[in-house]
Amino acid sequence: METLDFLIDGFRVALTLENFTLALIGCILGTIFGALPGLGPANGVAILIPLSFSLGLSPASSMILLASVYYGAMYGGRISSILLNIPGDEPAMMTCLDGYPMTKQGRAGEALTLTGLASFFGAMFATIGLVLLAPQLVKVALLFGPVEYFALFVMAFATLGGVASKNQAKTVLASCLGLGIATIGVDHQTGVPRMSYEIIELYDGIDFLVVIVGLFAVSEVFVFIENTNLKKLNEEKKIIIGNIIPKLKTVKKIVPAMFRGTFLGFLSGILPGAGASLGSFVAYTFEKKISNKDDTFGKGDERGVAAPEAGNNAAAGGALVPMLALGVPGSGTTAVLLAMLMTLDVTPGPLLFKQNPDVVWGLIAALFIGNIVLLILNIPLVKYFSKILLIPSKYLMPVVAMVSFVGIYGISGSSFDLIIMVMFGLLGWLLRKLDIPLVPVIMGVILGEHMESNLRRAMTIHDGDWFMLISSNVSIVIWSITFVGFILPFFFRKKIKLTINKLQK
Amino acid sequence: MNDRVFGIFTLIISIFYIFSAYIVEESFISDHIGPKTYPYIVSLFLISSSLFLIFKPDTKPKWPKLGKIIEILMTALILIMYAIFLPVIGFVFSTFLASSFISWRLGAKLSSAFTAGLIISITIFILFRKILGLSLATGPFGF
Repeated sequence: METLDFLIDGFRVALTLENFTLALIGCILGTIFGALPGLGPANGVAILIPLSFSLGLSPASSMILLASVYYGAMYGGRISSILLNIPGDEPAMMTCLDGYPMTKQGRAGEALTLTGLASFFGAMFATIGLVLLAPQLVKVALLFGPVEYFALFVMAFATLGGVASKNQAKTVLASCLGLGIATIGVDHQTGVPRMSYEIIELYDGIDFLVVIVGLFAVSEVFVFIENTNLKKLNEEKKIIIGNIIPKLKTVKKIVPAMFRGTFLGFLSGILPGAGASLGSFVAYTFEKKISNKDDTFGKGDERGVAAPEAGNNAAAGGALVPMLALGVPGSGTTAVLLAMLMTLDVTPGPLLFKQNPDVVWGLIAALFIGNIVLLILNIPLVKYFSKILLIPSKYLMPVVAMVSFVGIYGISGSSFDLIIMVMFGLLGWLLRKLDIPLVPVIMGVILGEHMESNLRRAMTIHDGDWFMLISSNVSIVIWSITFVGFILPFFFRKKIKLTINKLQK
Repeated sequence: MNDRVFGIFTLIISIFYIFSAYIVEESFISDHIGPKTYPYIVSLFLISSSLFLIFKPDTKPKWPKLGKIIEILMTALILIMYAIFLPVIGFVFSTFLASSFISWRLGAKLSSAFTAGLIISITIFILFRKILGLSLATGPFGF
């Protein structure tokens, strides 16, 4: 078992004192980021990248820190869904449906424990799936040339909206904005400056960290300012958790739901264009279809919280498969994780497994360890985390903003970058208002250069024959998926919208 | 309707972008398709999605009142000033002012906003500069 040897080596990397501490910090921060409404996983990871970069952490250590944050956020999202009926992050939306009714019945503690278990189950299974699946995918991916890679990148963008996409035109627009921004600066192949208008600061291009932190974190500050209603401020939130130990019978009852949720979630995690939000959505709707015999769903059914939580955690793990094996992320947060690797000059993709096995396997081992840490943080210690929900945003948001500035300034020490970052913050606010997704912009900025260089390499190899882009069978398959994935939302959108509306009633 | 305005805006951007690609001076050694082709392809998609937004806009978003918009722009301006003055007056001072402002605009009383700003700026300074050793901006006083 070659894989097992690698995994053991991975545990050696993950269990050094430094990396274990980082995993622990990552898990705690991740749970906090996930629990706080408005600070999602992508956001949290984005703020920490520049910090871990300026602190000079090694690629393996940085990935361990950030991936722990990623997993932690998936756990943490449920806390405010259950306690306050406000999803802590997008994937935790479905958990509100049965979680909040349980809180109203005084079973908040039970709901938190059961979802904690379900999260653990989903994430554990998905990490095992990652170990088994990723190396196989790498074997396939090693056969890919520039033609196939270019097709893969296009596929990642075309399917990004997912089947639930609201408006495909807006996804395309957002992707193009990102891809366009990525072309600013000196062209890497010929050395001529592009789109930079003799502004020296633009010759190096716009650092994608500046764009990411601006669009996610700084725009969040503006959103909070917009929504601050000075009259409503004195309303006090109350959090009562109660008994956290569920009956054995209840635990038994949710086991099948966890299995189904995990399976569906993992699947939607691996597939392009799905991600964690869809994972929990599919898990919940499916569970409701087969278990809602006595019409208990939406009124505090335990299976209704277990299935989507297992689903979104499994999807989070599943989404790491294409990101690590192909270097082509399918979701916002995995794209940001990829950005981290690129910042550290580690080439993502199949070669990563050969050239930096410590990064890959250390990361995977850290995920196993992180999961156990997260289970402890999220069940016995959950009451401390729920206290964090009581911190008013008027003290929290300045911290978020300032830490973002510190991180970016730490990398470049340039005021110019900070100004650009604020501009992107405003742009991010505007795009959110117009319901234009931010994730494609980020993906475009991160992947643009790779996408272009693969296209140009392909053209150089094939002497500028554009039909060679559809020459190999693999590329034809990828282009077909791209086409279907792009067209599909036009048919599915209405149906999913209807289901969501029905569920929210 | 607002989608339409934004669509027109991105349409203008894409025309500007095509122009910027057009004026790129190619080097004498180049790969097969050169540095211009890819930007042209991107702008093709940008133009078509902009046109889609112009002709088939979604429903109008709910805009905040003018006062809020001015407040948001003010905050952005403060943050830009922060970026400019950071190396001039040093990290602790500028962070104190910027974070107090944000805290105040998010509904804190002036006195508690200033206290929060002070605590935030000193904590970040101690944590990131003294403990983690990050390089923060140093003003004339060294902090």
